[in-house]
Amino acid sequence: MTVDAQPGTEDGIRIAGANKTYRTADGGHVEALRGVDLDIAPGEFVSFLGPSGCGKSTLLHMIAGLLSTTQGHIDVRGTPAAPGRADMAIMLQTPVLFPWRTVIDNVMLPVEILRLDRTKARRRAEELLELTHLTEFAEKHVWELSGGMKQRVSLARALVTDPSLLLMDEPFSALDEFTRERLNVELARLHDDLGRTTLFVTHNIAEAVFLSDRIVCMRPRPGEVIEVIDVPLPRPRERALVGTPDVVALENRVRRAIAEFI
Amino acid sequence: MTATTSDSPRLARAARRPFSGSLGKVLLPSSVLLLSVAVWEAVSRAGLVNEIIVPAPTAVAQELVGMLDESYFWEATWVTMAETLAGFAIGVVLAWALGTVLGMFEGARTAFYPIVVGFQITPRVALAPLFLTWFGFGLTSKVVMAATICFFPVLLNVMVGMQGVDPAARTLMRSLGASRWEEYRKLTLPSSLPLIFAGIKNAITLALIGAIVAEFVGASQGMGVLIKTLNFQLNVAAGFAVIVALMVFGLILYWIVELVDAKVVHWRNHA
Ligand SMILES: Nc1ncnc2c1ncn2[C@@H]1O[C@H](COP(=O)(O)OP(=O)(O)O)[C@@H](O)[C@H]1O
Ligand SMILES: [Mg+2]
Repeated sequence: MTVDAQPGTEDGIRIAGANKTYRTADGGHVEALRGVDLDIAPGEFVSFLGPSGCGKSTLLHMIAGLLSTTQGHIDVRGTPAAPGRADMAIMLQTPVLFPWRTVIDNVMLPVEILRLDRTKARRRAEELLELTHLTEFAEKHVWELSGGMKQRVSLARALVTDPSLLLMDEPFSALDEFTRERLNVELARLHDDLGRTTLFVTHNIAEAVFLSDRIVCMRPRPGEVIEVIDVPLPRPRERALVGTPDVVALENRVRRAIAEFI
Repeated sequence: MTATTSDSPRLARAARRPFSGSLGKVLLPSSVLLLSVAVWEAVSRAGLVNEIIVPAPTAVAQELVGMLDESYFWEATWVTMAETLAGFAIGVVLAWALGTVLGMFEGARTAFYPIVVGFQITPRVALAPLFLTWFGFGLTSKVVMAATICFFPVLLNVMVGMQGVDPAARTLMRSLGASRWEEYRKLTLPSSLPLIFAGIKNAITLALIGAIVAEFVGASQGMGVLIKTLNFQLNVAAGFAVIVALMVFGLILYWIVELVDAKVVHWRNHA
């Protein structure tokens, strides 16, 4: 379905008629995504929500320029989606930290590869470790960290280049419920403070409602957008919001939208 | 204190089983070793075995101490160590280089895999007579044997190590626009180092085996030659002494490689 264009998309993301068909090893085809049209405004927090296999990761990888579209096109801040840009960062389901590097050196990895100013970035990295409560772990090795701390290092690494676009593929889904909730509160705070465009893939309804400005509800086989739901909750988003009638009503609305397609 | 509560059950257990805990890790193996040597000594002294066939440990020790003053012993040691280290270095460098190429290019991997596996399962010491024919009685045939025997385990480990890189880490590197070289240098190489060094630790032991076997097959110098000569002279105690010396040198070489491994792959036990 088509979604109304948001203002300022030349600085945001425009997804137009995006299709993705995978060729499988046995010569068959899998239609992972069909006809996605979506405009995302700068500074928006948009969640992609749906059960496993509905093409959420595929869409995110296409926006990151890691996969080509079979049909249609994706523009990121006015240029076709491509990897290796300093204004975009991706965070994956696992923290993907390098055990041969210290925490701070892991955070600095994008700076090395994108060849940015190290002195400036180093200061930024230290700030981010402070924001994610990891200052005293900067020189530690990653095996000394818990799962939640590792994922916070991963977040700091994504933010070190000050990207205007943050792509997150189920970043907290491998964590326990308590750690996940805590990290969601931190992520909401960071988003309120830094206000960068964030695309957040999840299969957790409460998480999507708590964090997002809009929720893109998806269905599998083939992967399609069912409905885009606005989340008119006030910002800053705080923990106290969880369980309020407004939030519960939104959660139910999202659940209903997706349930009939499962 | 927490230390007391967590320590006391462990102490109680240690009291029940005297050889558990860190002290036991030294105490248990060294007492078993001492006991075995003592039994061997007793059996030999009691005349249960012919002293010419199995000499007593004290006789072996005497021969060894005597040998340490002899220049022929150190000449033989020097020759064998040179063969071992040269073969080890050549084998490891070539295996690392070829393994990296095979690990990087799937086509090359597919093409060469049967040959690599074929050589890996062949007892490579069987090549020693051939190398003697090709490279003569001198050091070269021993160096080639040592290099050949440690080449394949390293090659395989380099390849397998490169295959084992976390796909999510590759995705991350690619999202950053890393070049092929950067991906190798910053991801593939370090993440395969634990396996590569496991192969290298194996290789140092194998290189020594290769050098000795090649000396047995045909040589004029080296510890292998010394062992053969002493056996022909029925000086079995001296032969044993050379074997003990070989064991010590082998241990030292392994220990050095392990030190380097612990320095380079400092994250090994945590990844
Ligand atoms: N590399 C691939 N080759 C073939 N099929 C794939 C590949 N990646 C994903 N798919 C298929 O595409 C569909 C969408 O996958 P994905 O984007 O990972 O969904 P999600 O992230 O929502 O779970 C699934 O049916 C999946 O099996
Ligand atoms: Mg996914």
